[in-house]
Order: sequence, then C-alpha cells, then structure tokens
Amino acid sequence: MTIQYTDYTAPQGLYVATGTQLLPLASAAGATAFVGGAVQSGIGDVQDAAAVAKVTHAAVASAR
Amino acid sequence: MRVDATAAHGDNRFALPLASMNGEEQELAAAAVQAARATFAQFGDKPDSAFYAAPGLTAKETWERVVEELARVCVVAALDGTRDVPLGVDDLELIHRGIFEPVFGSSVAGFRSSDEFVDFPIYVGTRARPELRTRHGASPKQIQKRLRHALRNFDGGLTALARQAAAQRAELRDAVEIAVKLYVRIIRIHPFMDGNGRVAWAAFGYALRRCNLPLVEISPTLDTRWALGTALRRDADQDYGPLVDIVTSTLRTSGDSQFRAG
Repeated sequence: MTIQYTDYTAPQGLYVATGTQLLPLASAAGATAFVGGAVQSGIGDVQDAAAVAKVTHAAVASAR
Repeated sequence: MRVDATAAHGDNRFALPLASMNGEEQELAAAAVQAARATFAQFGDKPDSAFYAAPGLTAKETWERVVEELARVCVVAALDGTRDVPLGVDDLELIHRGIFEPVFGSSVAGFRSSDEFVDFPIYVGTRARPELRTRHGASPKQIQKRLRHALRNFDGGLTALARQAAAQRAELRDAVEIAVKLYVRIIRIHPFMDGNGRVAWAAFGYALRRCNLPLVEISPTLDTRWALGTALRRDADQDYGPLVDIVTSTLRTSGDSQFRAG
C-alpha cells in the first residue's frame, strides 16, 4: 500500500528527514542522522531515565 | 562470560546478525551500524554504572554494543514498514530482544514480569517553562492488552488513511499523527524495564514507513521533550499536537519540494 498525499510528496526509497534536508538512509550522513535519533530516543533525559531505572531496579530487588 | 551474539537470534528476525542478512537489508543495516560506531563519540550520555554493564563488558562497551544493535534493529523495522509487514505485540517484544539479547542475554530482555513496576521521567509544565515529573508505566498485567489496543488503533488509523488516499484526500499531518500516537502509546505503557524509548523509536520508524513517509531525525531539545511529555500526560492538558507539529514540520522543511511533481 503506497499512500500518496495531497500536500506532501514523499521521496521514493528510504530517506531520513533532518529538518533541512532529505538524506538517503544508505549514505553515511543519512545513517548517522537516523542512528542519532534512535540513540537519543530516551524519554526526558537519558541520565534521568538511568537514575529512575536504577531506583526501580533496587526497589524490585529489595522486594524479592 | 560474554553473550554469544550469533546464538541469540533464533527465530527472531530483529536479532539476525548482519552476516545472516541479505541484499538491501544487509547494506542498510551495515551502514547504520557503521554510523553508530562512528558517531558514538559525539553522544555525551554514556551511562557508566554497573547497571549498564553486560556480562564480560564494561559499561562503555555495553552502551556501544547496544547502540549498534539498535541501529540494526531500527533498519529491520523500517524495512518491515516499507514492505507493509504487520506489527504485532509479539514483534515489539522481539524488537526489544533484538536490541538487548545479543548484548545482555535472554534474562533481561522481554516484557516486564508481574512483579516489575517502572517509573519514568517526562517533561510537563508549559512550553516556556518545562518541568520534570515522574510517570508510572502500565501495570504488568495490562501491558499486552494495552499494546494490542495501541496496535489496533494504529491499524485502524492506517485503514482510514488509505481510504482518504484513495479519495485523494490524505494529508501529511493525519499520517504523522497516526505514527506519533503509536510511538507515544508504547512509551506510555512502558512495557520493558529498560529500552522503552529505543523500542518505541524503532516502532516509530516502522509506522512512518507504513505511511510511506521518510524516517525523521528529531533533536533531543527541551522543546521536543516537552512536546513528548505533553503527549504522555494523563490530564486535561494531554495533547499529541505539539509533537505531531514538530514531526510534520521536520518532514516539510526537509526538501519535499524537490520531489514534488510539476
């Protein structure tokens, strides 16, 4: 199913939209943009998330 | 003892090592993994604690390995979306296993068990003055039911979008909203003890591709985090709009015009 839009023309193939350009995912720049988004996909702040997770793990461990 | 990555994939397509992939999948995944290795140094967030250290690895090595697996899994998920492969609740767990099992082994991957509860931070407040708050993930007993509901909503949104497209009435923002809602709902449910943002990001790429849209790079600014937090709220101020606007704007300002017909 290839959906077409009335107000946007999607590029054919796998691209990464950076806000300023469309980069092919197969390119180094495209892959970097894509990976960067994935790496930074933590909620809030990564360090905050790590702290919350550690506290939660400790609580779970002590409950066992 | 290190985890044997080659033994971890089993029947999980999201855990398939690069060497076992073929064609486009291998080429794209290899590029993403290479980019992950090359760009790791630019990220300041390197959890340096025993919590993040996988068996036989330092925390830094663990983080690098997870990033590489994440890059590979995100490509597989995006290609699944491109090929209209359906996504089920089990697939979300397989995505998690695909990222973490090759590094940590099977014991830490998968949905939270019945005695595992989790909190996570979100930014709320106003756009001008975001404030950090804590949210609870769904009760472990509700995880699979709520994920099924989220995926059903996504499928329903896609069906409606396809109808609009057939009538030449489909608009970009409608599609982005469908993908954003799946992303936000996975984070809201928080089905895993760790890695929820990463699994949700892989699913977001999948969802964008199902809608025939490019993947997006979203900077982790305070404004973006506030927009996500606003989408995750449970009160009357809950709103998907700001995050949908950011993604829609990112797509629109990325050079759509060079592909526009005529």
